[in-house]
Amino acid sequence: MNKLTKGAIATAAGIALLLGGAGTFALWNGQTTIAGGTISSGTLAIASTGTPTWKDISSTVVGGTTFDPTSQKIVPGDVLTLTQQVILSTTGKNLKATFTYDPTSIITDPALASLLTTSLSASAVVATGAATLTAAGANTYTVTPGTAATTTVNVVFTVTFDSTTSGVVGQNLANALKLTGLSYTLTQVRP
Amino acid sequence: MASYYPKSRKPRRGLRFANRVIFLFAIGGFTAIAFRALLGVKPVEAPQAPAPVSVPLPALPVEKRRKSKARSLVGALTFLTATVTLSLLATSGSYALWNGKTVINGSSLDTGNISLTVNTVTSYTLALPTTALAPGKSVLATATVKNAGSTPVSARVASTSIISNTNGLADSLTLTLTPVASAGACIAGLAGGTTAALPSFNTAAAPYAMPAGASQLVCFELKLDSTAPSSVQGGSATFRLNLIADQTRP
Repeated sequence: MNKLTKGAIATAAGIALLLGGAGTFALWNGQTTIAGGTISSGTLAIASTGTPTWKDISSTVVGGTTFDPTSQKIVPGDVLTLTQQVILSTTGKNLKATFTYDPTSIITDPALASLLTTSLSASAVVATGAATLTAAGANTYTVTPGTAATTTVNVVFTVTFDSTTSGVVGQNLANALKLTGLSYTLTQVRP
Repeated sequence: MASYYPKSRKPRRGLRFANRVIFLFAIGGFTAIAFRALLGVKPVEAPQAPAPVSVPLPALPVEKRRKSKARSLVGALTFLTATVTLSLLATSGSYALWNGKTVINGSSLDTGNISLTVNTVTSYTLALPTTALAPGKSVLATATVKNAGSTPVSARVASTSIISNTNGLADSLTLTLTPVASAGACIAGLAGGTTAALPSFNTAAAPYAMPAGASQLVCFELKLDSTAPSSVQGGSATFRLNLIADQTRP
């Protein structure tokens, strides 16, 4: 290559380098690390365990307290319970949750809309460090975690067929109350 | 001085000098890069080139300038508030905390029914013999009343309707309703049932409790009162017994 060309390229390169490097002469700076440890997140989960069991707790019954929804039918004045155990996973310093059931997960035949009433009651199985459930309004409980990661809760879902149902209202209805999708919910609330 | 370079190859004096300057520049640039890499310092922004000189716009009177500045500030704030409010409104309620749910398959509940049948039908014509009655004489019939529903009931004759009545016969008739064990046991003059004049006959005072599925044979005795006046002769009466079943708890 021509010496002149070489010289021109070198000049351009040199000028570019000098301009790019302008002002890099920083003042003092230092750094140090803080051992902050690790932060873990808690848990909030609900899962059912075992099989749901029906029971007839009407004040007067025929044929004992067992109830089989596939072969037996309800009549006004009947009070039935569906018992199911659920496991709540609750860990977290400030964790607080409400436990209830979702009313929209139940399908009631319109003919019996106001005559079939439902309610929920729950109690934690006694165990070391189990969470505590305190009633907080209709069919709702406030869950305060204990030291244990999971808590087993006995949940009793009660169905009452109004005894003042008159005439032949709501007779012979299959799926008068559909509970195949009944869902229990656990929702975090701030303390 | 003799030169060792052939005249054609030796660079001119000026060029030799230029070469040296370029060389120094290159060294300087590389040194700068080395310094930067070693110190790890972010380069300070190169000083901005001065803005090109231009003719300034005629200055607005001071007051007007302030106002437009305030207005634009207010406008900016309003826009910001509106944006934030709208975004908050749009997403209101979606700031959910943790939540979980579990589905229980509780199956479905079916309702039962209440049903009372007489001889398996809900409207039954009693097979009373059409023998002409004389005072003190009775005709008899039986029927089976059944609780065909899914709940225990309390059954009763709620009322009697006289459909037709000639010569006032119905007022001289007496009906007796008695549960019996068999058809052969249905005879005139039974005790243990309900006896009353036909037009006002009912068993409200003694309803009959029947569990679900239970059946009961009932004896009907229709008797012409021995005190019937002779004006009832040749008369006829048609009547209907209205039964009601009320659900009872077991």
